[in-house]
Amino acid sequence: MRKKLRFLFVFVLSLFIENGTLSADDGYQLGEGVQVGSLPLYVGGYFSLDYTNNESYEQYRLDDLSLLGYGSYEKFSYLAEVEYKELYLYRDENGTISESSDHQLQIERLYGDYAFNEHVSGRVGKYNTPVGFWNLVPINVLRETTSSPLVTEIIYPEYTTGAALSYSTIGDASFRADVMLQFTEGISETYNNYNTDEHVGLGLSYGLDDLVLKANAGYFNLHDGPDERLYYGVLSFNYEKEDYQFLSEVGWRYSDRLQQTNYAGYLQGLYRLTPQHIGIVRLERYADRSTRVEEGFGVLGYTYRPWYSMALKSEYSVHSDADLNTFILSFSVLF
Amino acid sequence: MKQLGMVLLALVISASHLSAQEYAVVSFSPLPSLKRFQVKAIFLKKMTYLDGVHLIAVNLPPDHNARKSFEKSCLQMGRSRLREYWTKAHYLGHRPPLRKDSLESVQRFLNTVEGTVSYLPIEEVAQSMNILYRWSD
Repeated sequence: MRKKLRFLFVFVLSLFIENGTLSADDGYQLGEGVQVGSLPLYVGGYFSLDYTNNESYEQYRLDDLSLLGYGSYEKFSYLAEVEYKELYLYRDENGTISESSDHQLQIERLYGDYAFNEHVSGRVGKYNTPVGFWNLVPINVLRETTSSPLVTEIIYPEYTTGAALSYSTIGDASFRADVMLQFTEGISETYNNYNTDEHVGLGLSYGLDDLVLKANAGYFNLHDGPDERLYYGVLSFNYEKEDYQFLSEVGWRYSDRLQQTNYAGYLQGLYRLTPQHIGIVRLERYADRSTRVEEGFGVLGYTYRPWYSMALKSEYSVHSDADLNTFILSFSVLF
Repeated sequence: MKQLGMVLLALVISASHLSAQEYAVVSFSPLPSLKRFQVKAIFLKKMTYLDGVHLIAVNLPPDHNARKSFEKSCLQMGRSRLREYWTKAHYLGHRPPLRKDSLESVQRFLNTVEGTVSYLPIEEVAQSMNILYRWSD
């Protein structure tokens, strides 16, 4: 299977890179989906292949094989997305080989939006929790490195199932406020980083041309966990110009049962040598009081994008404990 | 000699003014004047309603001079950054603005579909059109 996956990796890569017709100006642009007839329905999808190597293990994975559909009619719009999360995984852990295949189709997102007027809109369903910037477009092909910063994985739930309300106004600058509410078990919740049955969050964002500042705060309860409320706060900014970008998110999470505060944050710089060749440096720091780990590490990355919707990425993370240093290579496409 | 230099400088300045092309963001719908940031928000589909009107942004083809000037002066985004923006928008369930192939086609669409907002060279703007924003090269 590992050979098959290697072959698939090279075959798909060569197919896309040698055959430029997918980006030809003939109506279809790779990464923009297609409309089904004249219906208010656009379909698309994405997938990701990755290879990971560090002192402890070597791993090949076919991840995130996903199909999405969306559309709008007057003030109503909708989006549905289903996904195979880890369709194939091969892992060699110091000579111990394991293979697994998860064939369970998960509902990644499923929601409807309604625009009440030019300022207020509402959402019902399962959606990416609108905290910070990374978690809004968290799929491999759209993020800058294959790995995600820890702040996006350990501070707040990545998905929320419930209702959301937003108010926005745009003048010389933009201002937006979001409220998100969850009071039930989530859809496909086993797939969320936290299995929650309650989540309340508030977000504020202010944008001025190339700069956007955000502040988020909220709390959530674990569905099957101990009786405790986990409170979080996240501050983030994104400054982006044509050739470079600075992105940062810093978050805290406080447990009222354990009386502990964990934190995680990163600062990432990106430089586009050309639109195709991109260099990335990310510095991260986090503290997990329950495991008494507090560590800083860096990630160096290079991404090649023949088109924006296709990415061949490499990265190397450097930790104070050299055994944790990790090399990751991935190929991902949005279509 | 100094006078000759002044005359040449005046000629150069007036020539550059003569060659500057002026454009306008227009609509037939009763919309207020816009700020550049609002024009940008409409064409990035961040603002889809204004004063109760459902806004429909319409672009010219990518190689049209008016569109190039619009992207440079109003959106202040290069083509690759716009491609990145619309690829992310596809994942989020949003589509880019409609595209019409010529000025005539844009003018017809403006005239027939309520809420249409587009941009034209100033000499192509009809008297009955509502000018929302102006800029020049």
